[in-house]
Amino acid sequence: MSSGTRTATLDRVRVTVTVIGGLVLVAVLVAAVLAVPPEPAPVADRARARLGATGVDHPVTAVLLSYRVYDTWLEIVVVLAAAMVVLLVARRADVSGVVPPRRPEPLQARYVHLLAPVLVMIGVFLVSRGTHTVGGAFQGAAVLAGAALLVWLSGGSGVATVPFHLETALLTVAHAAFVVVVVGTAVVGAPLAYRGTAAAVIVVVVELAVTVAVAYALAVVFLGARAAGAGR
Amino acid sequence: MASFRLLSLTAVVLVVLGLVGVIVRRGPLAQLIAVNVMGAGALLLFGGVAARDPAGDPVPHAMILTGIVVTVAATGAGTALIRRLHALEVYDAGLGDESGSASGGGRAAEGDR
Repeated sequence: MSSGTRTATLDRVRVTVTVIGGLVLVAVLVAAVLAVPPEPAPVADRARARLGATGVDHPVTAVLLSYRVYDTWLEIVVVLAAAMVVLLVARRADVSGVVPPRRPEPLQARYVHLLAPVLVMIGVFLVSRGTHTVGGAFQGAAVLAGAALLVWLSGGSGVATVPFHLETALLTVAHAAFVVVVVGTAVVGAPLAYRGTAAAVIVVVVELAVTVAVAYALAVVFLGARAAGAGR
Repeated sequence: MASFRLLSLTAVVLVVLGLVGVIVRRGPLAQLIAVNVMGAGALLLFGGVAARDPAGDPVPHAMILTGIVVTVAATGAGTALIRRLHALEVYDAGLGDESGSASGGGRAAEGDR
């Protein structure tokens, strides 16, 4: 029996075992999901009832930047870590000069040239809505990062011309804002215990910093991933 | 209510499909996509849990928002690792040369899978 056939047999065993295990896991997880009570969780009403103290009018933004702001802080650090991993793997200090996979079509370049300002406006609009209705830093940042990548893919340089020091500042601005807020609130009272008028200001400042950092980090991650395939 | 059951059961299917994909598939890109399918299932479960509330539970909604951004960032980091690995494999296979750093970008681009 050749080693090729043995590998094929082992592969078949592995696939069979995995599929059977998967079906068992489906049964377990379905039982777990069906055990979840269908009634709404009381935490939703509590989140809406205490909205007045958070300084924002939209419950999702209140969860992100007030009730569970630790979560958002950690999430910012995760995105920053991803950008650092990509830059390390690409062996670069920044993503300046990274070229897209292929030259853009003339029509595409022209179209994106017209579209980019509109996308930036949509991104800023989404961020500006965050405190009172659907929208916010993460949605806005995703649109802005998408716009930057689209411009880059269509022959524009965009984030690929940002120098190292500015890039570091843009990547870390949200983390820095969180540190300032934690230290500031700790001096005044308890860490991250902000409410009322001060909370409204803090939320808007943090939201803007999060928008910049997340949008820039996402763009860096994808330009850096491109650069990681170059050279030996 | 009905959408809570539908969304959470679909989420279970996606999570298990993704897990099976990670184990069964050979090739890091396919496995990265399978991890994304798992992640989509987890986020969908949050969506289902949020749908129990008639107005939409804001707490799981916020988890989805941060979860999506983390997923995108992790996928990008995974892509960078895969591309780096591929570039090294191309070099080890003797397709690279000592002057590869200047022309390496173009060669790696041609070797894209």
